[in-house]
Amino acid sequence: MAAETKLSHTAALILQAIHAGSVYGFSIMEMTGLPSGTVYPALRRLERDELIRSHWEQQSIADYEQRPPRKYYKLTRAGKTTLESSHKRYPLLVKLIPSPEGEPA
Amino acid sequence: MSLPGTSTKTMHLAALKCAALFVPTHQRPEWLQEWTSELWYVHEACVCKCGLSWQSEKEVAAFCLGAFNDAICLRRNTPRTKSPKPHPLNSPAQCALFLTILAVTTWCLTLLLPGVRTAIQPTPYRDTHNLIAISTNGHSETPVPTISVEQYRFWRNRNQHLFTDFAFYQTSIKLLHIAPHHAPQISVARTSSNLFDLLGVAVPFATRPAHDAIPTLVLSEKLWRTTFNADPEIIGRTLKLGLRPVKVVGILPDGSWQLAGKVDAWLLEPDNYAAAIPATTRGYVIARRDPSSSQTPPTGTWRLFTPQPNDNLASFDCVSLADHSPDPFGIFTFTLFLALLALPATTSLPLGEYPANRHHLRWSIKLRRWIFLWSKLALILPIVYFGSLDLAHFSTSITPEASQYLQGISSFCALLFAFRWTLRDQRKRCPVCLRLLTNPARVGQPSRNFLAWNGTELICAGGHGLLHVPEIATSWFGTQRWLYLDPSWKSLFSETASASAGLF
Repeated sequence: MAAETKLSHTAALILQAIHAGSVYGFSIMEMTGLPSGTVYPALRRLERDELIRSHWEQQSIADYEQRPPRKYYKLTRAGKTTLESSHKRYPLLVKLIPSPEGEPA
Repeated sequence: MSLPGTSTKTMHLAALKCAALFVPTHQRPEWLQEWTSELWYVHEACVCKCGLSWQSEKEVAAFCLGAFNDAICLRRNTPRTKSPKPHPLNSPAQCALFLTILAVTTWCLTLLLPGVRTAIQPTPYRDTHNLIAISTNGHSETPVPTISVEQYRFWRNRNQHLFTDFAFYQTSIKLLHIAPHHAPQISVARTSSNLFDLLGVAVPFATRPAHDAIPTLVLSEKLWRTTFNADPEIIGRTLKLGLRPVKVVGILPDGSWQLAGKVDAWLLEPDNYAAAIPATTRGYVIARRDPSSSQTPPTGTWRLFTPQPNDNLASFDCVSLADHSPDPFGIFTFTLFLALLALPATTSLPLGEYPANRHHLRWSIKLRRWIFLWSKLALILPIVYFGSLDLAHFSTSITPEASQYLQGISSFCALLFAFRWTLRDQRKRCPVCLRLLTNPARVGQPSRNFLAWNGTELICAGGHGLLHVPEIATSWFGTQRWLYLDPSWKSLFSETASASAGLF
């Protein structure tokens, strides 16, 4: 994916939420306030464009905590670059969802 | 106000499974796993936060509805890799197999449905050409009783030259008292004691009632099975029919009664009982024509002039039972004739212009095309015949008159549709490999029709040729025209398809 890819505000918001540590669907919904019908299709598109990648949590960890395993999402290198360029386009993004301390957005 | 948690969880899971149906098959298990897992967390969060309430249920339901949006987006964004499915009747073998299966299915249904079996079996009566149903003038086609008992007695007591015997029956609804508080209403035919002898129907165990004996009752097999649970012990028992005791003496097998009137049981009365029937009561009369009579038996409906009890002459309609009973094959033949007459109004009859091929098509290929067409036509006839019979007689509650109309209409419509389909199907097939032509393309403009032509072009997937179908029939392009492709086109088509017909 090209570094200068222009994202919609919603996609940039979701990317920022993942960067901020909301790494599964429901936490992204809670962080952004977006409905499930928006978040999950956006996640699929971002993954298709290789801005994020997903992996399943180990079954043993989920079994130990007596809950179903989660599907986690993580920014790729291209995703991080795109997010940085999105910050210039949407300056309020960092104010809405602050980036984790010590990490440049 | 709250709903039980387990049932709402089940409903949410069902909603997710419904949404999963929109997801492409290969992505469905993982998609469903993710949403089911997320639902668990949403449920935990909402129920912990708000308790089990309508508010929490609303949030969880909104989450589940989002799954539909996700599933539909996923389907839209998944590239389609499958090629379009070929037509199920693409090859001639598939088409012939489909028609054969249809013919066998309708034939099996004919054997299985009791109403159809009865309709096609030969008449159960003996010497039907000499058995005559007599009705008053103009009522031979209507199943209503028209002959008075007085007239029947007058004929019986008078010297006859044309008829040797007469039988009378009259139908009415009566209560059959089987047990205390169990008295179903049945349709009873009150008959003269010679009716079954005249018809030549053998009723198991039945005997003529003796003089002064109580009347005897013959049950229909249907009544015996439904009301008496097929109990053989019923024979010989005395029941009450209306207010009179009657003795059950026999069972008449299904299909043995093909005369007018729907009858559940037949009441055979001794002559002294029959004499008590009021003279004005109307019923049906069956007579046996004297076979040794010098006159040749007329066919169809014929008129009989005979004196009445008051010495006035009256005319009566006489129909032989051989002509009276409906002939399903006769109805089918008539509708076949009508369908062939109507066919040119629904589609053109020519199969198109097929020019002589420079590559000399083998005669076996040409013959195969005609065999295929005639096979289709030959298979359609039994399909429609048995199919219309199945439809007309699938229920025994349909009256014989309604069955005839139903068979006639369904047979005509099905034949017309089937013949039209056969011709159109044949025109859409390659004359070499008999496969359906594909890739229709619109060619030309209607405005240029007088200079060239406009219409549709179809191509054989095996590369045998092109079919030009004109949009408007003109004097120089009246019907579809086939163009054979020469071997130089071979490289454009797959080897297997080309080799199948052996043109190149």
